[in-house]
Amino acid sequence: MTSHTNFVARALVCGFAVATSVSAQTPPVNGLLPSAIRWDAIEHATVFTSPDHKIDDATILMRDGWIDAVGPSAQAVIPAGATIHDGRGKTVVAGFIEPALLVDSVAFARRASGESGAHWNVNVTPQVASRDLPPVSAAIRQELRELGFTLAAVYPDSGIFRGSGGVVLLGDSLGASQSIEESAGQFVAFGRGPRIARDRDWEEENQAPVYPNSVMGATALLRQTFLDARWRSASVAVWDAHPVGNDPPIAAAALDALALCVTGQERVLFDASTELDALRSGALAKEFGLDAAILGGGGEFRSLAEIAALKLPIIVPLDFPKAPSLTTARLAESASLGDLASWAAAPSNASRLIAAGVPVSLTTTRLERRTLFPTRVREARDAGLSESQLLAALTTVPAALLGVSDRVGTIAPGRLANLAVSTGALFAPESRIAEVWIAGQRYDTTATSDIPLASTFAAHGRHAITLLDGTACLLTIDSTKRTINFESTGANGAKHAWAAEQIALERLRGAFLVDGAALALSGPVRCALRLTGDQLSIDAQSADGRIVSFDATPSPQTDAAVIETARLALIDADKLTAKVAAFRALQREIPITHPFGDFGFTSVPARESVLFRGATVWTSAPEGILNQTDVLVRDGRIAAIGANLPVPPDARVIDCAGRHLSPGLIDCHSHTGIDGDVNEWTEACTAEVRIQDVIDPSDVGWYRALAGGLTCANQLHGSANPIGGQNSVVKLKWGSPLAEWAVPTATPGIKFALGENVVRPRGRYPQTRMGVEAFLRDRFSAAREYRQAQQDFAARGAAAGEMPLRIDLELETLAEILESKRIIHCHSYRQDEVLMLLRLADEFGFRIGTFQHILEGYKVADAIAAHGAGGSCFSDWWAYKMEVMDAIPWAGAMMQNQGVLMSFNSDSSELARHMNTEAGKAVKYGNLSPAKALAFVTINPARQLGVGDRTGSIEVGKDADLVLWSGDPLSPLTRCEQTWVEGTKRFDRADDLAARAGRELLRQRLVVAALGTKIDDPARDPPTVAPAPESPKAAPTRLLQRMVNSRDDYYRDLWRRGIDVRSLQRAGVCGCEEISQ
Amino acid sequence: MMPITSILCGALLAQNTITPAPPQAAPLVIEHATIHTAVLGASVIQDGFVVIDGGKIVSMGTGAAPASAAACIDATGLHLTPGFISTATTLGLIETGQVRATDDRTETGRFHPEVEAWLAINPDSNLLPVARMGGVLLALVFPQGGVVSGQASLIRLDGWTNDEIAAVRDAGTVVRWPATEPAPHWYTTRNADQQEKDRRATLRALDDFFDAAKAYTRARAADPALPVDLRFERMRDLLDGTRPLFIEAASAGQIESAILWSLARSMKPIIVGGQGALAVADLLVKYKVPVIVPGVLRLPRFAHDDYDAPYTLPARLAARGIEFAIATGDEPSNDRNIAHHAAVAAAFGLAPEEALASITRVPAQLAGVGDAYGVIAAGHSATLLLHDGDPLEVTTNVRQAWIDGRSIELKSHQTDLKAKYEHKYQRPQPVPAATPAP
Repeated sequence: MTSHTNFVARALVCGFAVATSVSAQTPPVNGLLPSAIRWDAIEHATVFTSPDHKIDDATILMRDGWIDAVGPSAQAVIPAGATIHDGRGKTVVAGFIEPALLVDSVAFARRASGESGAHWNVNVTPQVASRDLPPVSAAIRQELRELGFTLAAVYPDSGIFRGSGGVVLLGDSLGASQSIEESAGQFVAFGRGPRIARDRDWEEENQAPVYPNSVMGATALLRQTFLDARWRSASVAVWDAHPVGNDPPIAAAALDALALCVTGQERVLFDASTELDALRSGALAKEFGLDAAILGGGGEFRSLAEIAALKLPIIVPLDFPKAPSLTTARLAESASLGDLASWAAAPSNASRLIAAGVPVSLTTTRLERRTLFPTRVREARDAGLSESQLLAALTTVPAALLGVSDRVGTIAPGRLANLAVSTGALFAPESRIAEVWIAGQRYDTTATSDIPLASTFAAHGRHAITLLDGTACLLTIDSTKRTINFESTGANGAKHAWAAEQIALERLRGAFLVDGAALALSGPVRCALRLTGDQLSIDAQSADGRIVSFDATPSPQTDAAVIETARLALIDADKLTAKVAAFRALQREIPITHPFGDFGFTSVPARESVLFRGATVWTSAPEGILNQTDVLVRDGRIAAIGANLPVPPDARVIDCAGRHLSPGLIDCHSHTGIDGDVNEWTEACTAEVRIQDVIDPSDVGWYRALAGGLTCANQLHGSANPIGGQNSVVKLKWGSPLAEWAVPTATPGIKFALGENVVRPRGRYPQTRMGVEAFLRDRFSAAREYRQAQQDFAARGAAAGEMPLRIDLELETLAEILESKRIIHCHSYRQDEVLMLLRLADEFGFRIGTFQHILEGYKVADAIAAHGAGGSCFSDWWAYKMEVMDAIPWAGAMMQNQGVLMSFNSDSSELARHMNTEAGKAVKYGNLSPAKALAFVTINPARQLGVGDRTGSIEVGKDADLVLWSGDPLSPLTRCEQTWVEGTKRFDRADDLAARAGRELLRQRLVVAALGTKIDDPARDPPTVAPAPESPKAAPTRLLQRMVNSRDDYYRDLWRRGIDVRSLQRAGVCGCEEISQ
Repeated sequence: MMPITSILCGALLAQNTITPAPPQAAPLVIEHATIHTAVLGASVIQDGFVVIDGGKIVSMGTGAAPASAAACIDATGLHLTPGFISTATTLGLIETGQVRATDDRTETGRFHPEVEAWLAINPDSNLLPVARMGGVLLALVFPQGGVVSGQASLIRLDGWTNDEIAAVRDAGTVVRWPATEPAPHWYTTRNADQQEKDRRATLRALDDFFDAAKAYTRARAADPALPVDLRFERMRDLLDGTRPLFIEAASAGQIESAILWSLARSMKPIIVGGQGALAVADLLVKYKVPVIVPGVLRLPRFAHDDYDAPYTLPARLAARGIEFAIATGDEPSNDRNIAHHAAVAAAFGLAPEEALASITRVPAQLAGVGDAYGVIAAGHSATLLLHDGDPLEVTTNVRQAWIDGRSIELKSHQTDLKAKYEHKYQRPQPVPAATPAP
């Protein structure tokens, strides 16, 4: 449209005029008919025909819902029949497109799950289509229009396979959806968000709880369902060709609805509210060849490189995390650097993704209130988005994502007349959307907004304070109005006043924030007030973390005028602007560390060539403990061991005089870094779930374990069911991408569990140790038959026209156990259940890798040794439940003496920090040699996990997984100084100590910023506004509610006692507190 | 030298069958020991002797003991320390986790100062002999639950009856201070405002309760015929600061709030928790408030806390001159690991002798028995441990123990089980292989 010299309205070639396609279903009009002429022109407006093309004085002609022409006003010829709208001072852009509008679909999903062809799982309802849902409510449509949106892709919001979306116009259309595209793809989720519970309380009905409860369970369900959809298509094809002799396929509306998804012909949109969800989405897209897109969570910048490498379009929400709630100065101690940095850097998410080449569309979804959208857009822009990138993310990119670029997204002839008209410049703080046009229909928009807003303080009144520079300052506390004001008189007699902010007062203490100048300090300072007897004192903490204390003495004077002056000082525009500018600068300084958070590296750490010189080397190999020995590391491996090794030119030399070097420690039972939930406890057998799907490489537990010398861990599923999920063996490659963590050569394993935990869920088989045996026998029989059927099928070939066999991920996993391709790590305590599993193993011919916990294993050590199973126990835990009353600390040594390969494990992120001293207890109890004791946490667990050829000992050719200790590694008086994983230093105590001051300074600056930003954007953290109540559809059943309530009480007591809830994994409990009582 | 032997008994019952030790009948000399006296400022005696008689240390010194007719232990290569004291523990109040019938830790309600821990301690608990083998000879046992949980009792880990094991029935009152800062959303569905209301309500209830106790005490003093209130009776010597309050308080805000509240009421606080203590160190120093650190081997409280924050807390408290005891903060079955906690504090900056004092001298003082227990000094109780190595090393075992001069039998149901199954594996024929089910 830029080159033509003149344009006039022309008749539309295309006869499809959306707004006039009056449906036969619309009711007859009572009264006079509305005018049929829909011919409009907006003239003299600033028009962005596309994100990159602006015309300063332009005219747009619209007819019957479509754009007829657009160009410079000077060249426009407006037909006589058109209504002219003055666009002077306004900016017109293509109407915004909401790419993911989620609507309540729980009732529809539940209904679908009850109809013919439904999937067995109530959370799998892909057959729900947005067109079958009621239209988007008038209120939401209006809300979106007020923000400039004219079109939205609508998706059902409930379940795991939630159903398919459609693209609808956001105009008022007589109670029906006006859709321009019916298939916007299938919307799937990892079990977060609204879930579909059964109608009745399962406890009382003795029904099973709804599978899955965990992210890994949801991931397994996604995989199984995609496989089933493929199988379904294949079955139908076979039936069509060979109906005779085959069973007719039963109705499967759910799987049929996925037929196009699994062939890549229909989009699959993943609801990925976390970065790990996004990475999982990418993995599933790859595995099943899906045409995938991601509805992100807003934190993608924290794993930017990995997420950008997925090369998937991302719909980015502007739901920036709230500033950590710092309503009292004391609460600042709880705000982690990671949380603060996430909060401060979140607005830059979209711009960072775009810079990394990701197609980004913006959404109002996930916002606490949609009305926050314009503010958030401006924040995102200020954090690095150009105006054209922003506009593209609201128009052309979502149009392309939804496959409707030919109809919407730009202002051009032949496009739908969808426009957003802004007063003033687009996205300017004072601008707002004045009107939108939807298919040629004009809608006035009127914005609405709301702005939200702590007992008695015994020190009410005036007090004098002597400042550090010797001058005096007057402090006035009004405990009824809750104001605190400072005033002082300068050298020239000028009076200064300051009002405190963020005031929290109670009887004997209080807190507030005030400009440091009030106390002759700099920057904003956080103050704690304290009344001891009659003595009022103030602790003022400035941005550098320094604390200055002042004593206040009561002062009889009062001066109402001064107080008022101070109050007015609060409203000072200049100060505010400066504060915002300072915050923007700080935002840019935030390092995106690897991993993002408190102890990440500024860049991904690299391998080094290193010579450890003159250490006492605990080899965990037949050589035992070598004194004064050198160890050379190259290319991630141990290259040489000996005395006085020559120094290769590229190698760094670490003087180890007086220090000890050991293999990296290995934890054979860990629940650290598992995203979502440790237990998929809803079913007695969950062999299909995989910990590998839910590894969280950013868990601070990993860093803390590295700081205790741990380099490798066996991540296990919990013990809530007899057959749990598949394990994951990882190296602690802190700072490296998730993809590098798994040890691919480890023996695949699975968690089994016996005894008390597995019979705890009420109303489910098994409830006794007898039932556990029967259950295991039953499942192994099924797996054997399953494999046999597959082999028979393969032998006969597909030629016979038989229906294909369904791949069952659960039985597939169990069959792998029977084929000795997968070993069992069995949570077990009592000797009877141990012997039971050994009997089953002999009968079915499978292998038990390790008995875990195995606290009564010493009673049947001979039988365990005869099978060849290993044992992995606590050093000395006991008495935490009935089945561990016979545990004894000599068990490890006694079992080893009977020929059982033994390890000590942690089962706890705390114990995982000092596995070396746990090993020391094998000397105390059992009198093992120190070298043999250390082997309990090095080579022995390595062998148990099938990684003994790679790690666990210091031998030439093995992975350079090493720990440098300040002394004897078995001594609690020793500190871990460095931890190396495959030749890369992942922990260094000296580095950690050196980085502390800088980290704390940044944290304190962010704390101050978090306090300060409440002033410029109350929406970012309205501390007194209660969160929106949970939607009733998510209301849990009564038992679940009781569980939630009691867990709430329990967790809050942990907080009170200063215990990190995320450290909750108690040894031997395996996360089962979730389901106990 | 008297032989150090241990006789194994095969009987295995739900409750321990170990016979409590008889009172010390004759004087005993332990010589050539490395003696860690735990006396403030005293250094380790590399080769020393201790003479105990009548349950007390009657004399001590360096080198060989003066010649006497008394039985004598040659402790060459061995270390002598005071018995360890586990504090803030529930030892004896619970036997088996998750089995309600064995759990007497928590009385119902929010204010129950009238309950006393020693009454519910099972003298035949299997946990006591196990803890003893780890060196724990005394324990300051805390009731749990509510806001005012009840009376802490100091027990000896040996005796026929509760009366015998109770050394101090009412060492102080356990108070659980409410959180002063709202918990983040991942802890609770209650928002900050709701939590703030909860907290104010709890503090108000606490104030009302103590006000009522004070009013009751005054009223009863004026008119002894007024009806008795068990709860308030139990608080008399608390209100005048004779006995301490053991206040659970973790964050700086809780500690500050709890101390200011106690001082305003002229009561004597001891902080149990103290992760945030350094931020209010001046307050603790100025008012000489001691801290019980419930566990060195624990995780940092917040994601950004230094990985070694719990390890260095004792050293940081020591550097500020704040008195502290180290407890395990763990389930009572793990009380035997108390020295392990102290050792890690020593690895991270605390002087080893201070680490030892934090599980001996200081807890004795906090329990109000500093003049009788906790140090090796003439006139003090002969509550002693003889170790086969450095008492802070995990590889070290307790070789002999005495409580008030009584020689403790170092065995437990665990040693019995060990002996039983060692016997099994000495049998000539192996266990028959597991037979497949039909």
